[in-house]
Amino acid sequence: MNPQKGQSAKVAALGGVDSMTHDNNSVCPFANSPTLLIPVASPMRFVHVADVHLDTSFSGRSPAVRRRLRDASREAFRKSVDLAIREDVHALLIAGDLFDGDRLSFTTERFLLEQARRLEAHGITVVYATGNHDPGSPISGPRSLEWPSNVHVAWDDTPRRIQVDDHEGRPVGYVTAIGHSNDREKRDLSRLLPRPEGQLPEVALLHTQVHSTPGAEDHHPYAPSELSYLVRSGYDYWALGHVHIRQELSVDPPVVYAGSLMGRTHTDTGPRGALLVDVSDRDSAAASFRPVSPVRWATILVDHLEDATTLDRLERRVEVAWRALRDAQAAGPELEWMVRVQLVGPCPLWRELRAEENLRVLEHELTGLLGALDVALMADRIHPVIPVGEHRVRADVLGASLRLAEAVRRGETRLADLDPDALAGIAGKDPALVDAYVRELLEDADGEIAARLLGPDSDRS
Amino acid sequence: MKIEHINIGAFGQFTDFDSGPNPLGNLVVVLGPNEAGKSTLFHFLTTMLYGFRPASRENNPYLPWGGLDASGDIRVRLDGGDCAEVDRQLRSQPGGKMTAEGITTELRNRALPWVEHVPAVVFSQVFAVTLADLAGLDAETWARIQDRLLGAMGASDLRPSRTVAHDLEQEAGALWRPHKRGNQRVRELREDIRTLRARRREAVEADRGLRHIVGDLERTRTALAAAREERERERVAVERVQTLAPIRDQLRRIATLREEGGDRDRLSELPASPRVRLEELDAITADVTAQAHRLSTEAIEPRAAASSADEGVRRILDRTEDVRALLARGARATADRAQSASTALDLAETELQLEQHGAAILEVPWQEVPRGALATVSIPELRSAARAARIAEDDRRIIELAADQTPQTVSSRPGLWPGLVAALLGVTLFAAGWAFANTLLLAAGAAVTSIGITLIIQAQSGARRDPQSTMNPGVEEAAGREAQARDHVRTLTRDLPLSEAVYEDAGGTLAADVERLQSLVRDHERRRVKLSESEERTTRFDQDAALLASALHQDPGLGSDALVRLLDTELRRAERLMGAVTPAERELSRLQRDQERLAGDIARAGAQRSDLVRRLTALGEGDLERGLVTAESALQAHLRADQLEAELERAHANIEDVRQRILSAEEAGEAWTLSDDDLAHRRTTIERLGEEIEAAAAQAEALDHEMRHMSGLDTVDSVDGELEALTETEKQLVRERDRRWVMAHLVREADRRFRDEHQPDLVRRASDYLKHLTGDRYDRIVVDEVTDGDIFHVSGPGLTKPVALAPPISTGTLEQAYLSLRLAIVDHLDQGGERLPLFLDEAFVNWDAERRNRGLEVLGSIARRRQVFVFTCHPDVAAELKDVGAEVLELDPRT
Repeated sequence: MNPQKGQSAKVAALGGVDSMTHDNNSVCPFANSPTLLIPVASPMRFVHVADVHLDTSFSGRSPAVRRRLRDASREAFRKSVDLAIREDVHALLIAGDLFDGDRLSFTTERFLLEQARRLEAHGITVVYATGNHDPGSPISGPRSLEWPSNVHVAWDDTPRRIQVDDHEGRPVGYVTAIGHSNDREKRDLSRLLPRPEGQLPEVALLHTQVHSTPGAEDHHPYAPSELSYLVRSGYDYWALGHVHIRQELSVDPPVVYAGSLMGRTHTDTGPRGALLVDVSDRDSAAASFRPVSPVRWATILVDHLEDATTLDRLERRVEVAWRALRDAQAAGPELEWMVRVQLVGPCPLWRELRAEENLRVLEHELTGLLGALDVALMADRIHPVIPVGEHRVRADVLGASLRLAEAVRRGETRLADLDPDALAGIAGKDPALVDAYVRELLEDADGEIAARLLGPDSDRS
Repeated sequence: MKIEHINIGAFGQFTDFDSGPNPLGNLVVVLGPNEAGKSTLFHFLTTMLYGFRPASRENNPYLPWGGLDASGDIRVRLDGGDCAEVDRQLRSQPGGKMTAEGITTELRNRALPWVEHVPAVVFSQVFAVTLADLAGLDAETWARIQDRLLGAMGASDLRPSRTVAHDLEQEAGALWRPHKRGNQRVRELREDIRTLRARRREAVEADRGLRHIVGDLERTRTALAAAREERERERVAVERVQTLAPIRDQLRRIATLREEGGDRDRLSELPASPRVRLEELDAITADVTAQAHRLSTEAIEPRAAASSADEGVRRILDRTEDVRALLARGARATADRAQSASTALDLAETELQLEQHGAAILEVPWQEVPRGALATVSIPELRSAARAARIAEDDRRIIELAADQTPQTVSSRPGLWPGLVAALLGVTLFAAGWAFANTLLLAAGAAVTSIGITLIIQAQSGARRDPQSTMNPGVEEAAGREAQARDHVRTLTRDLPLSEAVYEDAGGTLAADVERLQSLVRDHERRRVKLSESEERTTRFDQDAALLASALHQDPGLGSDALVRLLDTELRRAERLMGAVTPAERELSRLQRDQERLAGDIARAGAQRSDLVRRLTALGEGDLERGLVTAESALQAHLRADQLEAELERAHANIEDVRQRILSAEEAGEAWTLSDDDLAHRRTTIERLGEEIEAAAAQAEALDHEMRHMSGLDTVDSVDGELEALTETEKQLVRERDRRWVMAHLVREADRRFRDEHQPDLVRRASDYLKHLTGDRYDRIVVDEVTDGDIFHVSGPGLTKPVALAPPISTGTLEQAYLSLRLAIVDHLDQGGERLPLFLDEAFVNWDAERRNRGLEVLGSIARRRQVFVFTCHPDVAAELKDVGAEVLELDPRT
């Protein structure tokens, strides 16, 4: 690796983070260009995964859905192992957060060891650097497992340089890994890695938050690092974990977040999987994304609901939006979906959708209609179909209420005598926090205030 | 704003109503009994100001009676002095226009620009309060009026803000309250979450327990495996002594026998008992030889029978088909010979006739007549030509005779009779020739008939002939025709060598002669061919018969008929002989095969014996007897070893495994004997280990069962998932609760602020009105929104403390207080804009005279700055108002 080349590296993906209606693909160059040329010069092939989060406590609505998601996360990891075996790679690199918590369930533990033994049987080296979710606790976590001999765990801030051999025992490259020893690592661990030397490819494996990474604001800034330092470090490939959005921060050398192996929440939308990295020639290497997650998360925003006067019409609107999203993602029929439907704006059914029971019924129907694993319907941002602007100028209590709500939202006034203790959703009495909370609560309240003051038929004329 | 003129085209019950030519004043009394249209008039005026509501023709309750379009117009005088005309109508769509300062503007259904500062609903509710609103109200209605007048400023389209806030607080409270009273969804959820956290702890413990169990299970299984291994060792030792040792001895005995028997390969070709086998082979040879001899004896008789069929018999039987074919052709050959003889006679007869006929008509022998020329002569044409020649000759003769005898009478001419006689004779002859197939008779008949016919024709010709034709030129002409006819006859027969004499009588038998010649020649040719064919067949048959006879060694010179008979006889004889020979030959064949088989048996037995003797002699090193003894001894040893091995295999199905274990034990140097004490000790150990294994297995099974059970329990992540789901729901509900609670707070605060903003001036004005109306008995209205209970109170000089504006205070005082509030609200509402007209309906009915007078004074005072319409059905009230300057607009109940 030529450090001078590294200094001229550029950040390849600086797009926005997940939006409700867009995939994370928008920030990942692999999505549109599955093969990426990487200028390295020695034979080495490996699979790069990160943020597997086994035993994640999925918050699906039903036990069956939660069970399926738990199984699916294991299935995604098993598919990564399948990929490594099928592609006959030399190593599988795990860039942290293999576990979600400090304790693996017994079943998952067995599963993990079984997969490690499968890789061992095929002569594939596993290098695993711990992250903030699975730090190197001696009692639980990665250190407590009886790993087979092919697994090398970097569980603390001591860098470990592992030689990777081919199936004939000849060295093909090196992986230098460093891990989190606790769940609050604040140091820049990348600075602790030694400068690479030798003629074979050198890969760095680390769970870190690179400054200014899109999507980083969703994660704690543990083990922060600087892209400019990584680029100058002399490594041929930086296999990173922590940020769940798959992205390539630098092309030369590649500094790459593999993204989470499978989405965990509705913010983790879009295809998820592993990176197959081929460093067979250090001057011309390639990496490609391989989706392995059997479950994909998606959020669809449905607005302009003025014509949704019946539940059937509302369902049809949701179905149309859903089809558009599926067509855009060109997903296969075998994929399972966790769908969040966010309803926004004026809606004649706002009163019906305020009832939790109705929401559950509608979610159930939409789950069948969309063929999804589960559908979560969010109706907290809809309001009655009422010309609020016209009512706001009234010289009566309604007008006064709407004007007051607007003034509160703008921070021009505060609600007098508001006892913070009477609020269930905020702890403490910090006026600024209370005001912000109240402003958030009143964000879409105008329509409902008007509807309640105008009476039951206010939005049906 | 003042309404100066009212014109109702049609509206509700009104039709063509007009307020009159004079502008209406500031105080207008609308007098009319109940149902006279006071309410309709009020709605008409409201419609003129704000437009039709509802705007659809179908739903508007003031659609004119009789199906007319609602329409009307008013003229208003604005506070600034300007005047405006307003015209509205409701057809399929509401329409309207406004004319002010000479400019007409389309209103459609919009409100007038000078009334927009007061919403239509507020105008309807605040600027017109009926008696029913002010009198006899219960507490609930009072509360409503309070909100209507002061909270919503009279807007009846709003729910009371306090009710709305209360509902929101109730809903929020159903979700969560700071205290624990009542059902609270969020607290229930939090309780569920606490329960789940306990379950999570249980899941953690269960996971820990599961790991312990798995550890115990693995340890138990290890101990179990060790115990089984030890028990196996002990069991093997005991088994070695008790079971394997006897087998080992037997195996050793077998090995010794094998050794005694020596190399088994050298015995592999020997029978189990060589001596007995030698004797068997000798016996076999003797027996087979005897059988062969018996077969030779049995073959004598059939062999003699078979030899009775000689060569000649076999020869003719071999040519049976040819002989039968020749016999079949013999009959045909006899017929052919008879036919040849007959045909030869016919041919001779025909040649004789040809000789005779040819001599009569030919100049050369008949054989020289060209066959082709004869065949091509057309007999009909020749006959016709001959007849023409004869007629020409007759004509010539007749002409010549006539010329010679002229003049002669007709009677002297020969008559028809000679001709008729000749013709009849000719016909008779021809018929006889036809009947007897006699050519001569046929020819004679034809000739005589021709003569007769000629004579008849001559007789007829002579009878018709003109006497003038008998002149000489006619003779010459007839001679010419005759010569011509004769030439024609010659031409037709020119290729035939006919004699000249035939032509002399060309008209006679020439055609018949030629025809007969043709017939005879054809018959001769046909018979000659027939004779030739039959003779050829006969000759061929004779040749074939001679050839076959030669082949069968018979004399061909016997002639074909004799040969046929001879061969028929010989064939029958041969077939009869062969009927007896065939069975004998079949029997001979069978006997021959048996003899051959026996010969083979004898040869094999001999070979086997020789081979056996050779092997035995070799074993005895040249001595057969010694070889026999050696072989029998070795074979016996191997036989015994085989028996012992078979016994072992029957007793031990896994004998190979046992053998291997013995070998392993021998290689390991294991002991094959144990003392009784040692053996007993080992047995005890095995029993003890068995019990331990049984216990450990039961324990392992129990642990395994428990492990499976615990594996099915909640896992930490599954409980966490449920926890997160509940926490998420709790978060949403908390947010929703706070949202409703804040909205309630906001509505209450907006209501309070609104009141704070409007009440001071409003209450002051209301207090002024009340003070005047009550003659200073009550001089102030007090608003109390802090304490629960009545909001409005009144105070006065005679009262020690404010009195709640509610029963038991008098109805009149209540009405006066709320009229005061209402008048104050009206002043407040259109402050800064056009002052809109005020409508009062039976406002002073319950008042005493003094207060009514004060009320009228107040109205008079208000009317100076705002137009007031007072609706009443009481003429005295109208009169009193008229006294203070009011203009009375009387409604006709029949309008």
